[in-house]
Amino acid sequence: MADALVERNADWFAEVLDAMDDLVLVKGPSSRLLWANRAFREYYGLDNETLRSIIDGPQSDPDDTLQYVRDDRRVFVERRCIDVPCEPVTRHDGETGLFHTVKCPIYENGEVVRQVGVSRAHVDPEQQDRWAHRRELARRSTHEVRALVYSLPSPVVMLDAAHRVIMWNDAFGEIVERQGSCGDELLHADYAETLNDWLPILDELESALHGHTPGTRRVEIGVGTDSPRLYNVDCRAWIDTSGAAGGTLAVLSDVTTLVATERRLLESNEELAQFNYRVSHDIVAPISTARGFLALANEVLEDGDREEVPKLLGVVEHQLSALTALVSDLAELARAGMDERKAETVSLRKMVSTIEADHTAERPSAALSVVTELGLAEVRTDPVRIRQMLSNLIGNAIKFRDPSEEEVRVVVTSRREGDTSVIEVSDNGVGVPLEFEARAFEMFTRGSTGVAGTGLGLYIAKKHADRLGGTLSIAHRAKPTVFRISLPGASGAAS
Amino acid sequence: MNDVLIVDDNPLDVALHERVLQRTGMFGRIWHASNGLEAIDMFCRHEQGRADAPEGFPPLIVLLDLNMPLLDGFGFLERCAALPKGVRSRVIIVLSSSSAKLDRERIADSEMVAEYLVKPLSSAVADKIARSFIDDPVSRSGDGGRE
Repeated sequence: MADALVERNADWFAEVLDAMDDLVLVKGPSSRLLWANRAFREYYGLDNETLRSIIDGPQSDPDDTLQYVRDDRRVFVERRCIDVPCEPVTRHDGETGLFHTVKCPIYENGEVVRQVGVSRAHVDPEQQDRWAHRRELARRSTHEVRALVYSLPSPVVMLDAAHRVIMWNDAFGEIVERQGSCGDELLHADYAETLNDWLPILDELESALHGHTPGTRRVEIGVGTDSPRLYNVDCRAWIDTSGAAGGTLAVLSDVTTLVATERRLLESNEELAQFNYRVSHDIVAPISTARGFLALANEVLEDGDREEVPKLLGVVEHQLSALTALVSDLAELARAGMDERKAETVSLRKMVSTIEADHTAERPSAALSVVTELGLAEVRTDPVRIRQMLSNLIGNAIKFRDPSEEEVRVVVTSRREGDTSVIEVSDNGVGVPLEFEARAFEMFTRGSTGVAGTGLGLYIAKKHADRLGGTLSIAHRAKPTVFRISLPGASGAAS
Repeated sequence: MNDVLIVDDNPLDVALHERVLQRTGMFGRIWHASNGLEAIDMFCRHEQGRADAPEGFPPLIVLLDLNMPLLDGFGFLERCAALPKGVRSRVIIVLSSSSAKLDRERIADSEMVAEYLVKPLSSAVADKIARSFIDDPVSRSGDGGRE
């Protein structure tokens, strides 16, 4: 006996287990096989080297493997022995026998690290029939889930209870391929080791499997050189005929466009709310002032003082003119936001000279002189938008004129820069103050309270530039003040 | 004693409201600030104000516009709340062109504001202000106090 005690090493225990006709096997986490006794090895036709770290024998029915994995998981999660009264196990030659299996946890420092399963062949024919029937039901149910996954238009991946990949549909396969992964390597692969790198939803899968609230996560997936796509990933458990979670499904919905639209909508709403507030103020303010002066004019008349009345009415008229300018700017703004019109070949010289004539007619006292230095005589663009941009910029030169200058001198230049047409409008006005530069193109930003304006001119011009796919920027703040319009496509003729 | 401070960036409205107030003949000197910041500065230079107008400073009533550059009416009210009582005006009346619900609600939260009026200020309303807030309205000559 004393000698026997000394001999109780690993080989000694292995001999004991190998002597049994029951199948004994040890598994690690995620159902990975670690060791099996002789009876199991002979049944599967595998040696202990070959079976290490695989999940199941190659001849096993995948539906049966699903069931083993689910049961293994229960041992780990519930930390207790489970009794499986009847389960099919496929022999190396393809024959399937039914076994009664008990699986128990093995602890290390209080944690379940492995489990041992013992299976004994069944002989009761009645029980065999009953379990064969159940097995068929489970198989059909799993097949139904698979068929559903396959038919869904959204990308879907189906996993078992150990987060191993069971199947995926074509839409998911396309994403996998774009990630540079090979679909074949994915089958039966551990999720954590393969897909989780670019689709990190392991927590959500775990939560769904535990029967908690279905987990949803928004994931950004880069696709080669294209901009990344945004997916809402919905993780849910799929339930087998026993009523337990057989595994999980991750359904991806591409929300890239939706999110972008939502963001644009929120921005528009915010802009609209601000616009509405400002417009009501800017429309109401001159009306209130005009009403106040009218009332005062009335009272003054009642006092019998006629001399002051024209001055008071002059204020009213001025307020109403300001209102007209605002309404006209608002109408222009509405048009600036509208869709593209047809591009035409625009002669810059002709257009600038018309704009100069218009401004001079409107304000003869402005002493406006516009010179053109056109490296590019024509541009191909929307004539209405370019005209309004140039008109607003030249109008600003008059509004923000430097009183110490004899005339308002504007120089319009044009040139080609690669694929871009560049038009610059420079003037000898007071310029753009440094603190105002950053906000110059914002809505209702006014360069000076001392100058009449609606605070919309540059905003409208910028909007036009945006719509034409170009830019409007301040190239030089003062002396000269230079605004630069860059438009895509330099198809115009050089002069 | 019955001085008024008009805080408004619109020079036409300032001129108009000054005229309307003076026509009632019940207010003292009319002070101006073209935004909230100027008004707060004026209060902070208390000693100078007292030297300038020993009786009238700080003005009894502020007529406060809301929409102004640098420091708007809401910002003015916030800053004003931090000032000692004797330094700022006793009565603050909002006089704005905005009848927007949002602005009214924001002002309703401020305990300092006695009234919310919408521009333009009429002689009748100016008269009412004088009777509501001035203990002893200045009684000037019958010509309505015109300068």
